[in-house]
This record gives sequence, structure tokens and C-alpha cells, in this order.
Amino acid sequence: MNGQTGPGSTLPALAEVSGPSRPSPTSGPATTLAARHARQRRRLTVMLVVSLGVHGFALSAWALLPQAPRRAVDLDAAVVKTRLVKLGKPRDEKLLPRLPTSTPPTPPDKKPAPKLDKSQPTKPEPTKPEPRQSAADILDKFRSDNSKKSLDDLIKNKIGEETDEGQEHGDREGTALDGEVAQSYFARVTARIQKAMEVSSVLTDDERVRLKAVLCMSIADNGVVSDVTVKTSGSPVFDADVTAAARRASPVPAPPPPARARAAAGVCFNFCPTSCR
Amino acid sequence: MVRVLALVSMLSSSLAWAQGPIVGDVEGGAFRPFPLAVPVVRGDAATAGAAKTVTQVLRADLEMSGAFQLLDDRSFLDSDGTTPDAMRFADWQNVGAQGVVKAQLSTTGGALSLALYAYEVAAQKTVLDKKLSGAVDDVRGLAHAAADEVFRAFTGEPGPFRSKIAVVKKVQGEKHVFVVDVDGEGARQVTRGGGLNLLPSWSPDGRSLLFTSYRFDNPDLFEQPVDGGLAKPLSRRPGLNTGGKVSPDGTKIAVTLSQDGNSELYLLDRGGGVMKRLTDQWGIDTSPSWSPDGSQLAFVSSRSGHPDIYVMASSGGAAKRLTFKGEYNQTPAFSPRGTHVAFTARDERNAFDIFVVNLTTNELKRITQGQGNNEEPSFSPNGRLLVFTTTRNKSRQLVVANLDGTKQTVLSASMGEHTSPAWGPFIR
Repeated sequence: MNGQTGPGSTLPALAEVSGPSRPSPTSGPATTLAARHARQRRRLTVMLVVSLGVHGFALSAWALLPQAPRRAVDLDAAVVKTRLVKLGKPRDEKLLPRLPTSTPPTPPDKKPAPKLDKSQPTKPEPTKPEPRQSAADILDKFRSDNSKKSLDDLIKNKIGEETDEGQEHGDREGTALDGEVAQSYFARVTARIQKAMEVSSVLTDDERVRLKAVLCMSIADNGVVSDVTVKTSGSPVFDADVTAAARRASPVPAPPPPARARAAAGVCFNFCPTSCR
Repeated sequence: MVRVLALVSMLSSSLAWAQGPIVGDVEGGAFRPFPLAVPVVRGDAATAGAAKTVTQVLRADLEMSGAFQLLDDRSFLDSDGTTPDAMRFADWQNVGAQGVVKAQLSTTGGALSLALYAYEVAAQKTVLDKKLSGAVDDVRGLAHAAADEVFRAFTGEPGPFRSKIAVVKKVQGEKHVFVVDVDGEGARQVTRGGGLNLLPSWSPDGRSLLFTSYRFDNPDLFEQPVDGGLAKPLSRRPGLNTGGKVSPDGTKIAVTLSQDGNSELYLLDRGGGVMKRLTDQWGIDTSPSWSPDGSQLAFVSSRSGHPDIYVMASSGGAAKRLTFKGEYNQTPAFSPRGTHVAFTARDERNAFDIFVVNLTTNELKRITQGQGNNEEPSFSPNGRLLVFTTTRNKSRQLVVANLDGTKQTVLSASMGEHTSPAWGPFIR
């Protein structure tokens, strides 16, 4: 028996089962096999059609249905500045003042101050101590004041509900929002120049009170400052300080679209050693 | 065509300030020292040594003022001339100098002659063109005079560098009044004998010094010419005769006397006779300091329970309290500008430090902190600087500082124990 289990003995048996040209005494088994193949082909065809239909429908829906509006990125949103304030008792008013430089350096073995975590917003330093608010109130106010508003919201709030009223000398195409954006921008430029401003200590007390220079400049779309001119204060030293401040401040923040025309046409800043008022 | 375009560009830019809208005010800013280049003073073979000394003293004076930041002389090449027509301003602008001082030293008829120039670089303007002369044996004096001229050229105010400082120095167990230059050099002893000689102050003309001496075993008030001569007793009343200060007009002396059993302020005439008693309080009143116009006196009083600084009319009357912080405020000095009073205060850590109170705003500003004990301030005659004593280097030395304390120079020449510095008037 074992000698008949080789290929020589099994092939004829297979040919007997699957050979199509072999005449069969009865047509029953062949018909069943063909019918099964036909059913399988139909099922495959149906599934293929259904699959194509579903994919086509999904593709059509993606292409034709209106998409949800994207949230506008507000590039002009005010930067929220926070400052970590050391926890502790305020200095006794009867004590002499101490210089800020006297703070002892942090010992190297101590961990560095924790970084600002957005999930735990720090309490902003209160400017007026009168109203006593709970921590929750302050947190809510902080969130509402500093929540990001989309450009659409700003337009809806500022323009959508306003009439066509404007200023007598305003811009025909101008809007209140444009004005606010431009004003905010030039305030940021002023702050940038202020940071770069250094006043020579050779100025006399009188000059520190009296001097006033006017510096004008053009600001390109990328924030680069050019065409700097100074209406002299009367002191070449202070004029040089003013020019140097403009040079150090360049490039200033790039102007947003509503401020570009004015920035390019030229804007001016008052410069005073102590106060312009 | 290019020229036309350039002209149009220049015109348009020059008109920009008139056309552009004002969109912001830039107010204040950090005061920073004026970047100044002081190349080595030039001299010939005969004056090379003197030129080196003039350079060192001139630079040290200007740096000490706190008004200038002297450029490192390795950061520039002094390859142009000294006179206005030989200056290459663009080169100086490139190295960051806003001002340049040039000088040429020579000998003329046995005396030193210094041709001194100062320039504002950005404006390419000559702000000083002057010839100074000095004795061959007083090179440092010539350099101080040059520093005064440069300071005036850039600030419009007279410089204090030729003035002198009177100070008490401990010598072989005794204390004597010395007069030193503003950099602590050239110390010269004024008082001789008498054991303890304390609390010097200048007459307005700078020719004599008032001081308290124990030479008769009592703290008596004396006056002595600075250039030598005998000490003349002004007040030898029983008890304290201390803190004598001559009024700016030179006619009166404010002084502390305790002849009635308590320390009170009095006005004396220049001969020492009592003109008026100014205070009558249960507490101690002492250390008077005149306002520049002579109408007010700053002084110390313990009438509130601890020493504080007060201001009162020099004719007497009610006093206004100036200090409300700290519990030990003393040694007031009225600014020659009349705007500030500097004083010594002891803080909660038992450290003595220098403070300045603004008389207009009552703002109290701390000048020193964490550097030993700092005491007994005195204003420079132009009101821009203070001199006081410090123990930051163990021995009690002199420090010259500007009014915001950002520039403090310990006078290295003032080794040993120094107390009660008094900055003298301008040298005319």
C-alpha cells in the first residue's frame, strides 16, 4: 500500500475529478460546479459595483458638499504679557527701599523656575487694589479679556452692526477695524522704538525737560525702516540718539494690510528725553 | 537723470517729517553714557611722559563722571589729525564714537601747553577748540583742567574735576583734615596738632575750611585757611560746637551747639557770635546743610523718636520732615541744584547706605546696597556726583558716584581710614 502512494498513483485520480474533456456518465456534478462558479462571479460583480458606488458617493460628497469654515488666524491679536510675581508679603512701607539688583542669585542646586503653562494661566498682577475679587473672578476676567477672537468675529462686532457713518476726513474705503488695526500696529512700533531708545547722559537737566525731536520714516511691508529724517531738537547729541534708536529698532513689526499704505507713505514719532507732555 | 532722481529723493525725504502723521510719542529711555573716544594725547620727545599722564588722568576723570563711556583705545586707530580740518568723522562713526577728544601737548617757555579739541561725530561739529597752559610740575592739574573743559563742551555744565575734596584721615593715632583731588590723589594735610580734627566744611570761596577740633579737650569750631596759616577758633562754647557750615553768601554759619544742655541749631556770624537760635526741641537737632540759595537748611532731628531728615527755612520756623522710611537717617547734604538731599540711612539689615530724596516728588532713591557700609555723602559743586565713604574694601575709602548709583568709582588712592568727605566749590 505504501508503494502506491506516490505521484504515479494520485495523478490519474485527480484527472478523473477535474478533467473537463472527460466524458461523464451523468451531468449532475458538472452542472453543480458550473452553477457554483456562476454564483460566485455574480456575487463578486455585485460587491464590486457596491464598492465602486460607495466610494464614488463618498468622493462626490467630499467634492460637492460645502465644507465647514476654517477658523481665521488672527495675526493682530494683542500679545498677552505675563509676569511671575513672587508670592509673599509686600514690603513694609516703613522700611527703606531696596535695589532690585540685590536679589540673591538662585542657588545652582535648586530647580529653575517652572515655565509658563498655558493650562494653568498665571494670575496677572492687579493694577488697582481697591476691588477685592475672588480668584475665580479674576481668572474669568483674564480669560474673557484675552480670549482669541477670529477676524470674522471682529468684523461682525465692529462693522456688521455699524452704519455708514464715518469721519469727515476719513478714508472712503476705511473702516473702524482698519483704524484700530493700524492704531494697534503703530503703538507696537512705538513700543519697539521706545525699547531701543537710549538717551545720552550728557544732556543737561534743562535739555532733558525741554528737548523734542520729530523722527519720520517709511516702513516697508517686511518692516524694514527707510527714509529716516529728523526734525532737529536743537541738540545734535539727542538727534543722534533718536536716529540711532530708529536704526536699532529696524526691522519693526511688519505692518498688517490696513496699515501698509500709511506705513509706506511715512509716519512720524515725537521723541523726548523724559516726557513729551 | 540719476542726479534728478537723487534730488527728488532728498526732497521727498526732507519733507517727510512735515507730511507724515505723528503716530506715537517715544518718551524717556534708558540714560546711557555718551560713547567718547579719547585717543592718546600727542606730545613730542620732551613731553612724552607728561602726555601719558594727561591721557590717564583725563580718561579717568571723564569715566568717573558717569556721563561718558570711554571707548577702549584698542577699538580704534587714531590715524587722522587733531585739528578740525584733519578729522575723518566717518571713521570715528564706524567705531561707535559719538564724541572724540584730541589733544596735543607741547612746551612753551618752560610751561606746558595743551591744544585741546572736542568733536561731535554725527554732526561733524567742533565743540571745543582751546589752548590750556600749566606748570611743568603740575601735569595732573592740567589734565583735570582739560577734563573740565571737555565736560563743559559736551554737557554745557562746568566740570568738577579741578575742585578739591576735604576729608578726615587717620594719621598715627590722630585725625587730621586733608585736602585731596577729586581722584583722591595729591593729598595735602591741612590741620596740624590737636589730636582729633573732624567734620570739615568749605567756605563758599574755597579758601578756608571749618572743622571741629578737640585741641582744647572740647569739640570746638575752628576755621583755617586751606593754603596754610593758623586755625582760628570760631566757637568754644561749653558742650558741642560741631557741624559748622558757611552759608552760600558767606555771611552766616549754621552750627550745632549744646550750650543749653541739648543739641540745637544756631546761626552764627562769621566771627562766631550767635545771631539766632533756630531750633528748640526736646530731641537732638544737628548736621545742618544749606540749600544753594541759602533760604533753607536740611538737618537731622530726633523729634519723631529717631533720627530723620528735616528741612526748615534758614530764618527759623516750622520744619518739614523729609524721611519717613528707615529708623536711622543722618548726615544730610543739600544738592547744589537745590533739587535733592542725599543722606545716610541704616536699613533693616543694619547696613548703612546712601539714599537721595527728590525734593519735588519726595521720591526716595537708593544709591548703594550690599557693598559694606556707605556713609556721609557730599555733592560735587555741579550736583552731578556724590562723594562718600565706603568699607566695601575693608578700609574706609572714598567713592565718587553719580546720582543714580550706576557709576561708582572707589578712589584707590584713598587707602586708610577716611571719614567726613566734603566736596569743595568750583575753582575759578
